[in-house]
Amino acid sequence: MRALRTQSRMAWPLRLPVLCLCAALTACAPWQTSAPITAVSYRTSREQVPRTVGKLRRLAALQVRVVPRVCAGGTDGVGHLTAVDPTARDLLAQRKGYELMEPDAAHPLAGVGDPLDASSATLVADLLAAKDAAQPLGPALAAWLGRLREGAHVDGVLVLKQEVSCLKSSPATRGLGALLSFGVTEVVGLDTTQPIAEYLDVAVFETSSSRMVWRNAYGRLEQVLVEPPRTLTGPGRADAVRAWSMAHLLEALEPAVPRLLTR
Amino acid sequence: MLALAALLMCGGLSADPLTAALAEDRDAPAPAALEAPSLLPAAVWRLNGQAFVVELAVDPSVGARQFAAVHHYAIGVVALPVTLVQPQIAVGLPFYLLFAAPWQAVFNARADTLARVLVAEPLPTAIVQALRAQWRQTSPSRPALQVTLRLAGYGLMTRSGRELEAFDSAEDLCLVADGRLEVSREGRAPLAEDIAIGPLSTTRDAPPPLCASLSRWAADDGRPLRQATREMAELLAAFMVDRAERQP
Repeated sequence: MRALRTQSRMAWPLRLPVLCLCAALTACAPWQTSAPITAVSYRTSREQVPRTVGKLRRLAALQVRVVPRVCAGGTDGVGHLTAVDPTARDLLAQRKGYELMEPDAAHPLAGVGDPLDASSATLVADLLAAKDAAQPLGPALAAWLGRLREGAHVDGVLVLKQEVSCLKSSPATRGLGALLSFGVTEVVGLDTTQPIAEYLDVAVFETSSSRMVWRNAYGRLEQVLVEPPRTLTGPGRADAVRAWSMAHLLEALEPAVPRLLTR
Repeated sequence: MLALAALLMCGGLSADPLTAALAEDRDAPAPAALEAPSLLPAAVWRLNGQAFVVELAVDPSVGARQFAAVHHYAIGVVALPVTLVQPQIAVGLPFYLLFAAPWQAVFNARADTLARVLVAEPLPTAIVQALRAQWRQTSPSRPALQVTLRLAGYGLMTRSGRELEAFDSAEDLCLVADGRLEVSREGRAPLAEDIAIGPLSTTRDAPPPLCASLSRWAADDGRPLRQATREMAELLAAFMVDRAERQP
């Protein structure tokens, strides 16, 4: 009995790495709500494949780019609306079957679209906060989702956050680089403000309930566990890696319910 | 070991008929399939002078190239005496004996599950069932017409269009269908349209195909494929209803 207890105590140090690995792998998997999802752009559907987020076929897509103040091109560290990445757009529309609505300055959507507009900036900040903290949405954001639901019959909002990282914004990476190069990187005066990585985070909000229903990330941890293919080389590597990352991020999203099957 | 051997035998030996059927499908070009007689009796539904006919001209394709698992053991056994001459070959033996044969057996078993599901759920019958539910008689005085859907291709295929193999099973398989839809009405020239749902070509108003890995399609005794087949039937029925309603 005592031997069994000792063995059980000894097993914990062995179990810990396994648990950490399981936690890391779980972090790579997309999160999805277990609550039922309701679409507003159609009343009935004859779909036979069970879907959750795929019910939200009519999606407003927003891409937010965040560049830290210390990095090149950085402003104030607040996210700004940009055009949706072409790879993400093609994958969502052509491979997954979503009807995308992309607001821009020429085609604002329920008050969102002009990046210079003060209300848009507030909204973006609200979206980022809600997505980062997975908290209930604020009243301004909930009201905006309500306007999308009632006015434009939008089923959901997809927010794609693209966060740029540079050595200067990541002291740990910079310190590790200095350590491994015996301080050479600090002596030669590398330009530490140039982007070295882009972290992607995507979330889908349901307009009928004003809550987040799906989320996936390709951040620091995920990029260590699942690296982009090393065959992506050459001058266009950054764009190729971004396209691969977008596809990797959004591939887990289930396909939308076909329009032919809805009324 | 006995259970593993039984699994290998079952998975490996049952692969041959399906492989032969797949070879026939690959050799048959689409136009010839359109002209060929239907393999199954056509599913027909008539209502108030309107007739809906669905024909399937080909066997469903699983899109996976199977290879008997026992062959991997045979390669290993044949290679054993050769190692006396070339000892380097011994490095590859565990691959065949420990990995290749079981991996191939699992692949074959999954492909067999998919083949069974595709055969057990005849698409023409499912389309007619969906038509019954979808067809709404918008006008009692609608003139008589006949809507014929002749399917020249149906089953699973990879995004690149080639067959999936056991050691290259990272690619997704998509449920595809293509054929010709004809709406004919007495006294008027029939309207014909090619319909396709697939990764390589898709009709303008068709959704993208449903794609998943082989293991995911075969999970839970092929339940995801069964559901996707029913949805494919609903989609093709929706095409028939839509084109019939557009006929002036």
